Amino acid sequence: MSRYLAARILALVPAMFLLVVFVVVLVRLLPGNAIDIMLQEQVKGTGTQRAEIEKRMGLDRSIPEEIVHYSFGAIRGDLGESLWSQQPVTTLIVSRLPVTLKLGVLALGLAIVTGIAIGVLSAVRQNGPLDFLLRSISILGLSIPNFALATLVIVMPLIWWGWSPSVIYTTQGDNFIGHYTQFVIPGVILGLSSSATLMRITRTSMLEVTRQDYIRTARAKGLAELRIIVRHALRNALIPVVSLLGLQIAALVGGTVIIETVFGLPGIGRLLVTSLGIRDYPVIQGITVMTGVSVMLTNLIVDLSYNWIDPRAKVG
Amino acid sequence: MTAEHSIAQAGSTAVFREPGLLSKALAQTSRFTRRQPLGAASAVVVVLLVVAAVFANVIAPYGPNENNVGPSLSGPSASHLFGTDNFGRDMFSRVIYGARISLYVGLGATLISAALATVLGAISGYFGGPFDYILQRFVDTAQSIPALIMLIGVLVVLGPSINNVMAAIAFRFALSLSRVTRGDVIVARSTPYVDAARSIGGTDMRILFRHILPNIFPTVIVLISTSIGVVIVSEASLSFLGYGVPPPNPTWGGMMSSSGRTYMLIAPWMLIAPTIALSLVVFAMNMLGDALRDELDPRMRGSR
Repeated sequence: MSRYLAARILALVPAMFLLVVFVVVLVRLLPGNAIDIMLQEQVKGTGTQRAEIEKRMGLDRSIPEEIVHYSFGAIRGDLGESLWSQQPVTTLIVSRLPVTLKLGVLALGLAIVTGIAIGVLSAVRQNGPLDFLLRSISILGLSIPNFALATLVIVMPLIWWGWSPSVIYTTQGDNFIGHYTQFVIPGVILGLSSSATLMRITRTSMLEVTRQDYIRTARAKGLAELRIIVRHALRNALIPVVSLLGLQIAALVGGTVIIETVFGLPGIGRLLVTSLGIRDYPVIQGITVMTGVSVMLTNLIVDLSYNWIDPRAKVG
Repeated sequence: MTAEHSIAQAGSTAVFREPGLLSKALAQTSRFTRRQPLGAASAVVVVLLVVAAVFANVIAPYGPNENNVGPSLSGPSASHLFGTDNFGRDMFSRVIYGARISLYVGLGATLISAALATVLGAISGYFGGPFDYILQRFVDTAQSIPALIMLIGVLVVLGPSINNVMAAIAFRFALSLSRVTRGDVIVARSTPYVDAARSIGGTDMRILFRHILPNIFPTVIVLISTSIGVVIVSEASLSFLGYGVPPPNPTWGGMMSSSGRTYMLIAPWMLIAPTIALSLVVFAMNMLGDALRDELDPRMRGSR
């Protein structure tokens, strides 16, 4: 186990290094006139300002130098400064983090609970009308893009009842209950496709597991059906579900970009969109690195949790 | 797989002695329809999409960017089935032409990424070694950056255009899909028939092309059929955020963004028509992909 753990952590190093390479090279590849456009848009550019901006984007260093500089900065929690507000990128991200975390945790929690529960139910009633209905709903959930659903959820109630979910952010201080309830609709929409994905893999996996000999043995022992499903089948069926969870987390983070934009929630996704709009490249780089590292670490935790779920999976 | 397969083949040859290509195809279609009714219905929707995309210039009564073909922001009527937008453009025509972009990017990006994933997966899985290790770290990194964020980043650099969107999506998906093909190649590499091929002196190239690739082909088909829907949504999401196919191209995602949202209260049809078109097509693609996977993926047998 410890050897496996060491190998997994070691593999993170090149992956994180490549992540930094990606964001550094990406900024270098920007069309040559990007800074000109930036200067025209924001201020009347003078020679000194141009040099100043290039310096803050790290363009005065060679690519290898910048990669080393950025990496060491990132390790110390320094992701550079915003070009316009001149605030540290880390501060900007940390100030937006609670909104995204609340939204993400709600969506992920919903996706896990409903996805697994419905998947088990569907597998237990395989090919029955309930299974058919649940599977159709799940494919529907996978098919309606979240921005389409989010838009419909805002537009249709407005047309029918003249009411719509709020797209203006309520802070915790303004209205405590309103602050938390505003995450419910966006969270459900964000979690929907992950829930459908998890439901489908749970169902498939449950169907495979319940055909195994040891389940027949458990039945032959006369165990209660519920106990067989929950204790014997589900625990083993969860392994592929958990391995999919890592990818789902990345998908959820991507989804927050759209959901926060549509519902006007000031989280990291929204910060990314606004930063893109004003070409605040250090912030864009910082968000990319931060989400990338978070997803890598979550994946590591997910991998390690195999051992906890499946005692057979003594890896390494 | 093989036993079931050969029995099925023996059965079909017994029934259809010397079957013509057409009758064989018909028989397969009718069997597919019987076993996967929803899949067949979805196939009809997909065919309609292809027809709409290919014959958009015949079906659509107006050009997609023809201004003032009717009063602007008028509701659905006989002359404008889905109403008109703020420039007086016919929404029905725009939605029909939108099918062309969705299908072009969806199919193009999926096929390119599947081809790339097969090559990468084959080299990585078959030869292993440093190339495999480095490529896998690239995949780790790519998968850790949410696809949407990575695609936006790449498109900021490349600049928005239909082909750039297609290339960016294809590249991103190829990295993820290569992990699946790699896994299959690793399994195929250690099978007795590959050992046999090697023991009679087969070269690596011959083993790869004649023995391993044909065996991972079903996986690739499944990957293609299950990816198209996701790819179409990716293009629509990018266009929705303004980093995809640039206006005035009639993309469904683009129609649902700025102008559609500005006028959503007085002209909701501007938003609803492309939303339904997009959702219906992705739904059909996913249903069809599911049905095809159930039919083709040997791992799914017995779980139905």
